[in-house]
Amino acid sequence: MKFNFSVTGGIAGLTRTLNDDADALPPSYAKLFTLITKVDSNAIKPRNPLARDMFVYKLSFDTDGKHTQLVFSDDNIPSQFEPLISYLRQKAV
Amino acid sequence: MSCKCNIIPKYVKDILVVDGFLDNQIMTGSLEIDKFFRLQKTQRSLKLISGFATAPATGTAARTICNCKNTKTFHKHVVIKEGGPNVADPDANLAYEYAGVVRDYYKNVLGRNSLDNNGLNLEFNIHYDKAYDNAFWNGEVMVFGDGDGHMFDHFVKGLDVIGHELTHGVVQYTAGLTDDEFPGTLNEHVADVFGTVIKQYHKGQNAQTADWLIGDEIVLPAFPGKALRSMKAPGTAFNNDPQPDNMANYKPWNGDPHLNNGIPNRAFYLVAAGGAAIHGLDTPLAGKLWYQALLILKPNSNFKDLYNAVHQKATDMATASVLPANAAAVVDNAFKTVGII
Ligand SMILES: [Zn+2]
Repeated sequence: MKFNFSVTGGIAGLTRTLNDDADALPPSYAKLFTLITKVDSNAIKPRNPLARDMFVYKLSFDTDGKHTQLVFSDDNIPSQFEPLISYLRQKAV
Repeated sequence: MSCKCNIIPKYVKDILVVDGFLDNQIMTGSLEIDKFFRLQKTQRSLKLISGFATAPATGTAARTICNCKNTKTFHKHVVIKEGGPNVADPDANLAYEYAGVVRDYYKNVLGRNSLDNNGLNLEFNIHYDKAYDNAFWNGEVMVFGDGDGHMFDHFVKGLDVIGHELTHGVVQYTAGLTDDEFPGTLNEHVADVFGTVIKQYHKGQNAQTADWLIGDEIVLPAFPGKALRSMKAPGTAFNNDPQPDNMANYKPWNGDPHLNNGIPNRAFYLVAAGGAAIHGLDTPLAGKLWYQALLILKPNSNFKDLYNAVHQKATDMATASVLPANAAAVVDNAFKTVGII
């Protein structure tokens, strides 16, 4: 499954992106990717509006003809997906 | 485990209930009330949060340095407490030292007792996550990554970065600028202003000798430039730096409050350093002026509101002989040059 990932914000205000295929991810991350595609974007808890300079992570993919974009901040990534987001962040350029 | 702290202390929740701002039904669960507050971006809620001045002291402005050990866990591994000795980790020592520089600047120069002007204790979480190219204020504590080692160094190495993040805390407890387009950009502007003012203060620089760069001490050779931002010449800090230096080149809002803060940043530089035909106030007095202006900004203030606040305070402070008699003219020249007025 193809996906687009971006990291924006932070004190630097820079943008980094990664366009890749989930099948090309290391197996443990590919497994997490399969799980994250099932996340209900409405169930993501709101970020703290008082926080400043946190990164904003956007993950987009298509499943069954439906386009989904998940948006996280550093303080509201579901804990089980933190390793995946951290991995994608480090791969993004 | 990430931070699960409640953002509203229990005694404040109790006060809010007593004062009728919130009903007891909402207050029955701390999770619910914290969710409630996290959703509030209104002036009322921010004013409530910032209105602690009459409450008991929240702390003694004491520093605590915690080591995240390259995880996302806060609070857990305390390495230095206020008054404690240096440790083997140079980042911990530097975070402790720089936190003290920022705290003491606010106290000794501006007369402000920590972020909330009520002694709030300062917690720094260092070595956050892996190869994390960032530092942030989470509404309660400061968080610093170690960088990727190629483009970015450890973020605690930048005194202006530490001043920037702590100032977000000051803004939270004063103007309460929201993260919408103009107030959000002003929030980043004020954070940059005190980041650089405190760096110059600590290094014994002035408006003419300072480099006016933000983040120059945390970029490494692979970074395509000399810093994250330039307040003197916005748009020149790195290759394809998108920052404008004038309202004529204002960039459409893309959700990033750092994009257009070069415009008020340059206004501050001009007030401190002066222009072609006008002497500036120099950085120490410009910093005092901006702090007084911050105290009368509102959560939804825009660039023109910043000008009005700075102009008003320049007039007041000149009348009180704190600033030179031409201070308001210096301000007008700066804000005209960048196109805000
Ligand atoms: Zn900031």
